[in-house]
Amino acid sequence: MRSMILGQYVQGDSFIHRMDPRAKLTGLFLFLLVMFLANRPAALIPAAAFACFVFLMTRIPVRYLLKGLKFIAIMVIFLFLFRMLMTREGTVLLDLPWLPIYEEGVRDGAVFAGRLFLLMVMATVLTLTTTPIELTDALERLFKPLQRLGVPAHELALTMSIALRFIPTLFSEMEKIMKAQMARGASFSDGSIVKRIKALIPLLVPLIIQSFRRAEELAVAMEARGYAGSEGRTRFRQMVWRASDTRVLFTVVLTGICIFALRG
Amino acid sequence: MQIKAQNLGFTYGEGTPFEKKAVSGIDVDIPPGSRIAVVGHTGSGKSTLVQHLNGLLVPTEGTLTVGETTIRPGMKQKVLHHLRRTVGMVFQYPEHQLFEETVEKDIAFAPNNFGAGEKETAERVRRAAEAVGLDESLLSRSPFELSGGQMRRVAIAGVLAGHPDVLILDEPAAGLDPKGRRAMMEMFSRWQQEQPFRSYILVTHHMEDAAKYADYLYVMNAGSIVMEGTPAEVFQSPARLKEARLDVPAAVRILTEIDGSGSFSLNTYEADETADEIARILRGGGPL
Ligand SMILES: Nc1ncnc2c1ncn2[C@@H]1O[C@H](COP(=O)(O)OP(=O)(O)OP(=O)(O)O)[C@@H](O)[C@H]1O
Ligand SMILES: [Mg+2]
Repeated sequence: MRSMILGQYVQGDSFIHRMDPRAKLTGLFLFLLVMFLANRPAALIPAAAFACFVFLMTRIPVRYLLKGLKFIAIMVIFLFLFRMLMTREGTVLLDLPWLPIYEEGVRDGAVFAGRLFLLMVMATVLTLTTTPIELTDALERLFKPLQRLGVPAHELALTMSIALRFIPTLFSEMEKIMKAQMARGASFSDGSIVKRIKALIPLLVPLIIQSFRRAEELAVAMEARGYAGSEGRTRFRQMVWRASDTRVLFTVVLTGICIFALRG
Repeated sequence: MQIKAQNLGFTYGEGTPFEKKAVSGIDVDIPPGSRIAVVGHTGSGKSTLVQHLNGLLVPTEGTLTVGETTIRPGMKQKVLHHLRRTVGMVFQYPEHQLFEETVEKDIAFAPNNFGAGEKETAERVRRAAEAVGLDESLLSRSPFELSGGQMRRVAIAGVLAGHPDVLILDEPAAGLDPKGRRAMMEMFSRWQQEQPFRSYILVTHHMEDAAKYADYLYVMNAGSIVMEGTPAEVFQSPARLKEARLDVPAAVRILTEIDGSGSFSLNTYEADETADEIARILRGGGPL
């Protein structure tokens, strides 16, 4: 679990932390779009430089990021190999008897993997520097135009923020129950697969029971405090879009232009 | 079972930005047959400390010896599985750990895990249910149909059925009314007295409980042990306790008001005993 940091938030006061969450989300989306302009590995260099630059600005220890990206890196390498072996165009680079490796395959695989990796890094940076509440607020705002089409933007955002809010609670709950059952001699890391799956019952049953209880309590608490949907709700946290936010988006576009210039 | 910690320290999430040093420089020495209390303000590291004693946490500094086993930083939690046989643990709100279809099966969970035979397990379940005062008719019921108090008894029976030598009690009476609290503590007291080698380690905020149900106290503050001794010794320094954001029991406070020299003596720290002691002092200090 510790090797997965996507979704974690690390408190801080850097420029990236203080950016408008809407700008961060839009920026991530733009970044994804401009990376599609790259058609060879070299063209991804500006995107990589941009990602490094943004990460350094967050002032989060690099070591922490590297450790947390391990799992993603393994997945990306796997996808790279897969993609490389699937593409059979261009000159043959290495003529293995069963799996000939083509030049086009390496190129295509590298671009694909590079894009995915950079996207994951940026998504991680987003969650590392943005509280879940800010994220859902921003999503609600960005989805607001869709409300006319019948998309319940507020309810979706609320559901999401409640879910996000309770993830750490669920984890600490799980840790507690796990310890309690371990104290009674349960083992979660021994034996055959069947045995391990069976061992989950003493963990999952209390966890589910408590989650239901908690959901009920939350619903009652919300109603008791007069919650009645999005109608007429005002906001406590105001989002402010500054000139610097626009500048960041502009930088993403600039990165896109560099990528375009480096296309092969 | 002898328990000895030397310079023990533990840091949560070592090597992450969430690193948090919870306890450090802990020295404790607990002989068999002890009644110990660990008291401290919220967040002082009590739970962290006691979770080392059955290998749920492995120290990041120092050493810990439990019986024959010596635990050092870097050891795998897995190899400490056997400690849980001899060191049982009742967590705060233990009723949250119930999961089986029937009370009986839930209590049998620990003995089954520790490899007790079928007959032996049935016997242990019966005895544990009796020890916590659960009616036999409840054994076939679902634990989730019971009242909160009954659920807690089931959970505690589930720990006792593992036949530990040492019992760690992390706020076992949290959320109970005074009567329920006393019944619970009396039950652990009885359990401890059944065998000369049995010990318990009680974690609590409640100074009256610590005074009454422990022979030796460890006072924690900000991850360290700041005072230790018998209740009488510890309560002689209310100022130091206050530094640890704790208070002396009401009985001690009243008697100190009356008799500044501190020459009174209390065993149970309860109202009637305190009244007798006040009467004795007011009569001029002679024996009753
Ligand atoms: N799983 C955990 N991860 C990170 N930090 C933790 C964890 N558990 C406890 N801590 C931190 O370690 C410190 C000591 O916590 P601990 O639970 O041992 O205190 P305590 O004395 O038992 O408190 P309480 O009386 O509230 O139960 C606290 O600052 C707490 O925030
Ligand atoms: Mg605690």
